[in-house]
Amino acid sequence: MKLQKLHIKRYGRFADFAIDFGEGFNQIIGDNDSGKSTLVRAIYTVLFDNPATAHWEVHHANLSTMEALYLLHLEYQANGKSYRLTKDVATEMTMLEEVETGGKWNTPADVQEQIGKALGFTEKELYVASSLVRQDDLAGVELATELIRDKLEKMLSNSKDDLLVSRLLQRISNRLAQIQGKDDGPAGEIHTVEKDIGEWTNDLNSTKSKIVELLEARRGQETIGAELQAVQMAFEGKHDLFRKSKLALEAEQNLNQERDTYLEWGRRTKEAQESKNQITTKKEALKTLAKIERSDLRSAETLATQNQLLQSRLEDAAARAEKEAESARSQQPKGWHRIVVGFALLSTVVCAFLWNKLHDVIYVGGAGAGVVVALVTVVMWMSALAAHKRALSRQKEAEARREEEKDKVYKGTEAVEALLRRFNVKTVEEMGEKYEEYRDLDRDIKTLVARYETLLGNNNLKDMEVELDEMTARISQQQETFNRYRSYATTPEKLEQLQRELAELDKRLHQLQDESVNLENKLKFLEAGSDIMAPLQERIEEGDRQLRLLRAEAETLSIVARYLEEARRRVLKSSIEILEDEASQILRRLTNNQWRRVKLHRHSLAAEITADGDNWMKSTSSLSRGTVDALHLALRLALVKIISAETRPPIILEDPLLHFDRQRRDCAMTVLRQFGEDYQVLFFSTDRQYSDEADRTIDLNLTASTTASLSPVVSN
Amino acid sequence: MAKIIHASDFCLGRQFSGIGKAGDFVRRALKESLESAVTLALDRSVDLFLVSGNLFASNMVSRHLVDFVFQQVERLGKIPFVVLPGVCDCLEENSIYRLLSTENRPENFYLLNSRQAPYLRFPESEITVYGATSFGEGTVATEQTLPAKGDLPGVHIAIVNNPELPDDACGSSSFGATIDAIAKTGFDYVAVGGLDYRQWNDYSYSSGSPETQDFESSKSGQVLLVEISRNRPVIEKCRTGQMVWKQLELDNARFRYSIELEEELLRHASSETLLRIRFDGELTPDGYVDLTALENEFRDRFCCLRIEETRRLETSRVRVGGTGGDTLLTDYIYLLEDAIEKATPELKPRYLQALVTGNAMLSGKDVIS
Repeated sequence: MKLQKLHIKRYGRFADFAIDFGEGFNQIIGDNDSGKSTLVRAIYTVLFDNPATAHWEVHHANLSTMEALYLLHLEYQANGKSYRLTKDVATEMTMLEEVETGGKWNTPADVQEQIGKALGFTEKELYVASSLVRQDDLAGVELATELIRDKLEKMLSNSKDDLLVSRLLQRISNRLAQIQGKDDGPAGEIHTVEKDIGEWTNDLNSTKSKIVELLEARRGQETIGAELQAVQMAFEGKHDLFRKSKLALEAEQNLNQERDTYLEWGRRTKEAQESKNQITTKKEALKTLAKIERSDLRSAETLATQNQLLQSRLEDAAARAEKEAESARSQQPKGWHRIVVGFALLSTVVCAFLWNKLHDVIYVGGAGAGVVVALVTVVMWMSALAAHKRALSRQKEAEARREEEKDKVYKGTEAVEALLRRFNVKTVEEMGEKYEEYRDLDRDIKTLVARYETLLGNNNLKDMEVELDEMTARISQQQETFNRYRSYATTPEKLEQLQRELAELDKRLHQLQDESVNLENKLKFLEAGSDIMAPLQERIEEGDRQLRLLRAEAETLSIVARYLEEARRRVLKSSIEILEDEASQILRRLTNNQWRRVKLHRHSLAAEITADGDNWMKSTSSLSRGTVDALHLALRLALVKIISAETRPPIILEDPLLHFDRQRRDCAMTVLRQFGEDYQVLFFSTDRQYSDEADRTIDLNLTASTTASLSPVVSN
Repeated sequence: MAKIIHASDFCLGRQFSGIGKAGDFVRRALKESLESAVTLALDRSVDLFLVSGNLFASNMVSRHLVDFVFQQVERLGKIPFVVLPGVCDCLEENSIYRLLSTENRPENFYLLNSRQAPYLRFPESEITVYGATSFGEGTVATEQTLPAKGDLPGVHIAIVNNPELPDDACGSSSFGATIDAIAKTGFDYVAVGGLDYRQWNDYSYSSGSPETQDFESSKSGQVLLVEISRNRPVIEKCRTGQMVWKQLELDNARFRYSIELEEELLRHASSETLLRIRFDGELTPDGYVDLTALENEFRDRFCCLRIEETRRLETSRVRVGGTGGDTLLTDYIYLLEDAIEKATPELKPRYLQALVTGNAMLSGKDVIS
């Protein structure tokens, strides 16, 4: 592959820059900050980067936003054909075009494949490790040992990438990590299975211990079951006895009660019947009596009494009248009044006369006395007359009253007699007797009726008689019932005792039932254990089998890995020897034969060198920087020769000789120029010393600003 | 004449070995076989349902299983369900038959306890059943004496669980007599236990388990419908099993490629099939077949799939000789053949496998996904 032209835009310090390369040894000279590293990077970028992801990578590389939108265009020749490669970050475009045929590839994968064919490398790391030599990365070759081995293996075995030992070892390693787990990663399948087995084993052990409990619980259940049955039977027996005794007692009590009720009811019924008969009889008798009301009797008595009173009053009135008459008679004025008066008058006259005559005071006194006596007697006579008159008046009144009373008595007597006649009695007494008789009879009847009704209650006699019959029937039934349970008859005290015993049994029964239920629940829990024993044991067995298989697989894969490594080592041995020889040759030339032999560790490809005449190999840690750089340069150049002999990719070097002394620098340039005969060498350097010896010298003139278009100064 | 169902070795609740989670399916199938047998008994109106041993796989089965059995027995109605405790569910102190409450036991469930009664008599059908019960360890062989046939009218059936075999895991249960001897005493039928069907003589049969329970039992999965009369009993095998246990011996020579083996597997695939394949023959270094991957890929098409590698490598035939080859592959083979020759017997199988695996990997076969 030969690079012909590189055109870059917006990349690094280059806004728009183009550079042409020639065949052979190209020296690109530039001072510091002239863009040498940028151009090297641009070549690497255009060959390997994907524009679609580039801006993220560029950000990682800490470039500015403007630089992230680069456009790179590369023209090159490979296998006798010309190609144009364009990568545009702004449009995320990748395009490869074959100039002669117009063939195009525009997907990153296809483009990369073509680039790989042209370079002889598909892995950019391998290109970087061999053909791209940067000033501070000479030792990078040691980091790519696996790639180098893969490349060698591929060359030797013509293997596909996925069959390279390194890939197979990676897959084995991944699979072993899956099986065995990683220290800082997820647990492996073995661990998972062991954990499962552990859990199942714990479950199984727990189940087994539950099985022991299960046996005990079952035995316990059997014991409780038996006791429960026995207590149940005892309880039922006693309960039956209690029930029958109670029935007997109740039957007896009911019977007695029924009998008492019957007797009472019978008595009442009989009394009711008697009452009814008496009532009937008395009512008949009552019918024969005149109904004398009390008011009638009272009237009669009142009348009689009144009559008596009137009679009495009449008698009183008569007596009074008599008395008044007598009084009147007695109060009739006596003639003496007249006499007296006359006498008094006479005396008076006399006295008066005498006085007149005798002027004796005595006669005056006498006259006066006579007058007085006369007056008095007149008064007395007058009063007697008045009294008599009054007496006569009173007599008259009394007689009038008597007559009145008499009339009243008459009327009264008439009324009484009328009343008596009405009730067909002769006397009030008789009426009274009749009344009392009626009243008594009526009262008797009422009493009887009240009693009858009391006896009946809310029933009627018929119902009572019917009830009596029913009672008879009930008594008969009760008797039957009692007879049935007669043998269980007991006293209330004994029944109570039986009840207490029953309560005790019931309590014990409930206790046992609770125990049985608890045991049943416990058994259900434990029984579940015996259900899972078989599945658990099977799972453990299956787990053990898986474990065996996994361990066997791990062992097998470890053996495979070990022997693959060994086989590869053997296969690569010759290749490595060739690499050693080639690197040794170049090293001798680079160090002017000071160092003669390169030895590579078969596995790590770590390099050791030995000087002329000295068999003691020295590792890089004991060499000077310049010698180490020379060694690494030799290895890289040797690698390029061996692994890309057919494609001959461009060798790009950026100031690789910084730590070389003058002599070695001269030797290195000679080697590089010799390489330039077979390879395109692009040598980027600040050193202008060897510019005349180059096939093409390019002087980077970067005096203008980075935004201007620049073209380098070229001399051939 | 009497018509009975003779079944044996249901082994309900059994733990299996070597079939992984398929054990759950087989256990379920065993329960279903009991259901099927009971249905058959009802359809055919039998006089008796008889189990000649090992109704349960052990005495530690759960109550749920017993309840299930009782449910099935209740379905029989008045048909007696007679069980002889076998070597697995022997009538020891912790026997399942002793420890569970009898209150739920169906009335038509009968347990033959030869210590309590020498026989069970069923007057309605005039069947008398004799048996020597297994009582577990310590059972004296003399206890398992030959049951003597009585003079009762009707059919006389003897039940034997484990004849002619010496001590077993559950203890002594062997009879002191052979089947022939028993048959010669004049029983109308001798119902013998055992996982496989077998005709011992004209009057004695092992019914086999109603559901196949291992790869070696090829004559199981049925119960026997037995018509017993004055002549020889007439036996009808009635299928009750669902599971198919197959064992194939495949020769490596027939299968060079995985796809051929895949096709063979597909021929046998079904959800009721338990398939064990012994992959035999001569192992060649390039004869790689990822048996584990095949097993994993096809396991869901079977109830259980086991592929066992029993191939042998003849290293003398494989030796390439010399000091190795020019390629990675030949170098690898050379190195491993050397290691195989020097390996200890314990490690030799690993190196053999490594040879085959590495060869396959380097040849581009998808050894590790």
